[in-house]
Amino acid sequence: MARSSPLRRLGFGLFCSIIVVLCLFPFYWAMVSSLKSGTEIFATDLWPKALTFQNYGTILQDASFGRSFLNSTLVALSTVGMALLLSITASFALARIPFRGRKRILLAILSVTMFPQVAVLSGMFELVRFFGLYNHCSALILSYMTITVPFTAWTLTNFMREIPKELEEAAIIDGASYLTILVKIFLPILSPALVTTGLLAFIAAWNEFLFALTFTLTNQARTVPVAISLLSGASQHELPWGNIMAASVLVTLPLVVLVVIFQRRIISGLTVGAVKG
Amino acid sequence: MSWSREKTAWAFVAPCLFVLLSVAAWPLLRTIFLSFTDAQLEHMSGAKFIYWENFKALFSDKDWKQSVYNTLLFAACSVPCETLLGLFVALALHKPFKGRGLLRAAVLVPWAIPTIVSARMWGWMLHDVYGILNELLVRVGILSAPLPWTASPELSFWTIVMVDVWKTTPFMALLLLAGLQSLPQDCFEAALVDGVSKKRIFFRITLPLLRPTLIVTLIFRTLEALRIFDLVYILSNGGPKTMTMSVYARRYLVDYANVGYGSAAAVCLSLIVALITILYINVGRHRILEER
Amino acid sequence: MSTIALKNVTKSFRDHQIISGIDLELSGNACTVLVGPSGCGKSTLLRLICGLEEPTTGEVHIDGRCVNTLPPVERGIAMVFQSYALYPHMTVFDNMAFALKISGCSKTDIAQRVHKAAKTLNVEHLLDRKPKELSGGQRQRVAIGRAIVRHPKIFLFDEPLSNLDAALRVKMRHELARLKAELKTTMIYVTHDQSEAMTLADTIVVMRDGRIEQAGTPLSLYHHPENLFVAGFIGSPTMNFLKAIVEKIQSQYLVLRFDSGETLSIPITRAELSARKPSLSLGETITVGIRPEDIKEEVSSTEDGAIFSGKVSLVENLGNETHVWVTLPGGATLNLRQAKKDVPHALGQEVALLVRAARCHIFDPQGKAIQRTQKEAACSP
Repeated sequence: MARSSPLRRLGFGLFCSIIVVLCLFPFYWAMVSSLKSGTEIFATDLWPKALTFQNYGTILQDASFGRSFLNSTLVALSTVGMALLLSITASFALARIPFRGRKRILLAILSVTMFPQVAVLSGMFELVRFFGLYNHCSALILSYMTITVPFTAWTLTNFMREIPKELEEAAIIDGASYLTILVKIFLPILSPALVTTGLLAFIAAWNEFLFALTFTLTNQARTVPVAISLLSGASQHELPWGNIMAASVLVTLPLVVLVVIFQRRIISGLTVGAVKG
Repeated sequence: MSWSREKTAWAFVAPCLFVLLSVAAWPLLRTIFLSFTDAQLEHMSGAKFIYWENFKALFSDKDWKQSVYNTLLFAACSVPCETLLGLFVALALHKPFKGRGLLRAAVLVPWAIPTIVSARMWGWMLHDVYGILNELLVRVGILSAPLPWTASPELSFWTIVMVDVWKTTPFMALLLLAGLQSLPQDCFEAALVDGVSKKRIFFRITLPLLRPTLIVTLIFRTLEALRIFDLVYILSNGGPKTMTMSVYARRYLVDYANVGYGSAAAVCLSLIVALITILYINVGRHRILEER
Repeated sequence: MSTIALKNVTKSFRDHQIISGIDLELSGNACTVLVGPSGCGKSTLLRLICGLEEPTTGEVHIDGRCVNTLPPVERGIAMVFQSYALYPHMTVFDNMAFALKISGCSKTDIAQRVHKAAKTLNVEHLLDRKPKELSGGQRQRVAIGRAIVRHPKIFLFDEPLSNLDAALRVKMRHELARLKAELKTTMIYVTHDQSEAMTLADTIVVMRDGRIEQAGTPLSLYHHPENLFVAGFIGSPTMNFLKAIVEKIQSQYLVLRFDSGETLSIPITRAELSARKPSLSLGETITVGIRPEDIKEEVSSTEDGAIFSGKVSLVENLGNETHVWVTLPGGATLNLRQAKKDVPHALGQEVALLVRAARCHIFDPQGKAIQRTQKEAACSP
């Protein structure tokens, strides 16, 4: 490739910087705002005059926020664990074992990922109440299966399809059963894909709002997004912005760290499901 | 052997299928059933069957019509915007350079942040009195006076579109970039060797090859846009000008405890989503057939 | 030592028939090579034998027993894949030990067998490595090692050398030949490369479009191809084909006339001629085949044959020999092999060529060979 002119390279650098600034500024602004004290938050300085962690103190001392942070973690992790467990065997069968009805199941799974969540809301409400899970974290784990299982099954199926057929056939000739092939050959090879898929499912569960808002009532069971949406001051027009921004930063930070570490993997996970659809 | 293979396959699929049937298919069927009843949140079991009453009431409700219009308008504005901007960014980034990983990570942040949080962050940035955006725009001279981004019903719809574009464009760009990178390089090299102009390469080679990826991402994005809930719930004041179908359905279902009526709205939303999906798939397939 | 028998085996994928009615019996310590152009069904046939596919109709027998419904592992076979199919996350040792572990062998037994196989294949020093740290040739050896450790009754090879570069391919071919002599088991080998087939096979089975065209020893296929396809497929450079018209049928000779006017009398008996039904009649167009090495430039020779003259249109110098393509006035080309010592030809040079009657192959209008005993005598000059 010919070296481009310095002017072009400068322009390209500028273009990239603009993209980065556009993407990160709201997050930066939330961070800056959260570090400002009292009334300084209403001034639009790009850097706080005096750093204070007062907002974080308020948020972290609030027992209900800590509780919702714990709830979010618990719900997201259990959701991911269960979704992966359910989808691993299913996606192996869907990707590698020819059987009648396979295409139909795949189509059904795909259509569930496309469905609006509201469509199952009343039926799910009934189900949650039937099991006595209302205002309970398990209600969220149950309802998040609707979102995560089709997604993980679909993504893993696509990952499994990428493994060369000869590998499976070599194992069959070596005398391995399907279960052995899955456990001894596919899962070790697919461990990066499992991490990716789990990560995406984690993000989906961590960020979910509609079910969390509907199936919980008290701070005992709330997740962070709901807690943040409900943070309010004395009246509608006096929102505690400093606290809200501090909470926002706290809930986003783990995700930002994950994204920075796994950016390459995340993209592979997103495209394996999307491009081949 | 094939019989035992089928048996194994079904055994592998069964747990997943069972869960999907019970948490997706069954609730969906119940929602459809409930939409024909007068079920209330507090005593769902005592619901009476009232046939099409809910749907009749729904179709005569001005607010429902407005929310259907809002949702469709939202999808029609945000999705093309995100796709075009995303494609533009993807094309610009489609070459190796230093700091690419960093850029990719930065671009993923808006997507990874919980929608609620990004709505809150933007809500703060767009605050009509203390928001930094108003301040900046006024200082630069683009605005003469601060705008009530979220408080004004008319403006807040566009604010929601803008925040959605911010949240989704980078992500679209990454998907399309991955699509671009998976295209066969020799096609482009051959075209370059043949001296084809860059514009022609884009319209005659890149775009046709990228079409399957584009169509799939477009379908996914449209369906996502049609069920938008979180952003609207936080960023709007709940007035009819910004209400979307999901917000409408949930409000009747939960806040007004009218499960039957809310379910009817949810069923209508699903039908619209299904209709648009079928439309998209047919158009996409039609084009693919033409090419062959 | 095992016997394998295919009885009227067919295989279809949806509406597409890949294998159409194959009967084949293989026995002894022989190496059978299935050869044919890509898409001829040779790999499918191999997969039917090993049990990765089930025949649509017909039966596969191993040692006299129908194995149609038997899973691969119970057939006593091992297979080496074209892409090697080594498990990427396991070491070489684990790759080779995988099948033994599944079958429940003891640890010491496994270690002993793996080391023995590794020694045979010269990969002992690689046992702790992962496949991605190996070269192509080493991967190939490990793949073979993985097959050997199980002491199978039958070895199957699916184009094992086609992913290697030319030099390595020849080297591995020699090693396979050595292994074949050492292991003394039944081997079935699939390739599209006829030189691999010629050097490794005890029996070659030439396939096309899901059917067996001819089966026999390498030399019998070379010298007595039963049809135009086999004649053209075996041998490199390929056999020359010329169209000719039957001019006279005499008691000991068949007189043919070529498009360009030359005549050629081919020695053949009445009995041989009448073996073909319906018998050849005057004026029919048949095909004459002649191998490049059977065309001579010694026009003064007293040998029977037809003399063609033409212009040199292409010369390929290989060093040890030279391949020369000569275009005849009618447009047909003849390709001949010159030894190193001969004077090299220049492009466009006029040459006269002798097509030796004794070494000609003749094929009827349907492409089936008409065999002659007189030719056989000429086989060993």
